[in-house]
Amino acid sequence: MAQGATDRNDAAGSTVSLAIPADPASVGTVRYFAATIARHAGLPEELINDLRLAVSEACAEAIDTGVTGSIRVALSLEPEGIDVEVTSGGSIRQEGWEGLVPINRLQLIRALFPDAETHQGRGMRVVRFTVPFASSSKT
Amino acid sequence: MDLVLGSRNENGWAVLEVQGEVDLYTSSQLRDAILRLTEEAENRIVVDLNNVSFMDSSGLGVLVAGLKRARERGGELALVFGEGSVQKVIGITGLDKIFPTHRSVGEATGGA
Repeated sequence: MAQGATDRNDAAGSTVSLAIPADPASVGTVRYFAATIARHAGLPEELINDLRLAVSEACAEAIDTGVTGSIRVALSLEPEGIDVEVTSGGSIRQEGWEGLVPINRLQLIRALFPDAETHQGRGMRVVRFTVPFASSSKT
Repeated sequence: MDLVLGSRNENGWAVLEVQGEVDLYTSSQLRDAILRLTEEAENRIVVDLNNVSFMDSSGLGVLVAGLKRARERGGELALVFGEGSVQKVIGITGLDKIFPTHRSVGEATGGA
């Protein structure tokens, strides 16, 4: 279950974040959290579904790599859209979750949100992307 | 957040109904259900995703593995889904070109 949620308001906008343990059972909580924030921000339902998929893939990708620390999902409300940042860290387990997935999760996120990027360093991995308020209909 | 899974036979096909969200946590339940069908020599499988409200690439990976397994045994694995998030993720990954896809179970089994 979620370890905690925080709200922060600053000049750049409002950021809401949620930290979950690196546990597959917690990924659904992240989807619900992201959808709730996005719906409150007035995002169209189609984009909310894309956001749910992208945050789910980002968290699952972190868990796939064997992260044992927490995963933090932050959504920042900006004038043009919602900036999403999924940060994972901690030590790597000896055995990772089985690699069932023939589809690259990060490529899928990029297919949904082309500006998606990843950064890695100092034991942390970050996936960032922006969900624009207007749908660009990529199907 | 378990999946609800049920199977039945229809026109010589094993129809696997799936209800719920298929993700990293629940996809093993779908995998076990497909494996069970193939172990029972049910190699013509229709997976009905009409009541799946969410699916990520964990679920897609299970479906691809199931398709491979069914075809290795001379069978087939077809998908049934309507418009929505499942259709989108299957389309965006190009898997709609790999799986036989249908709008209804009847269409998939040749009964409609």
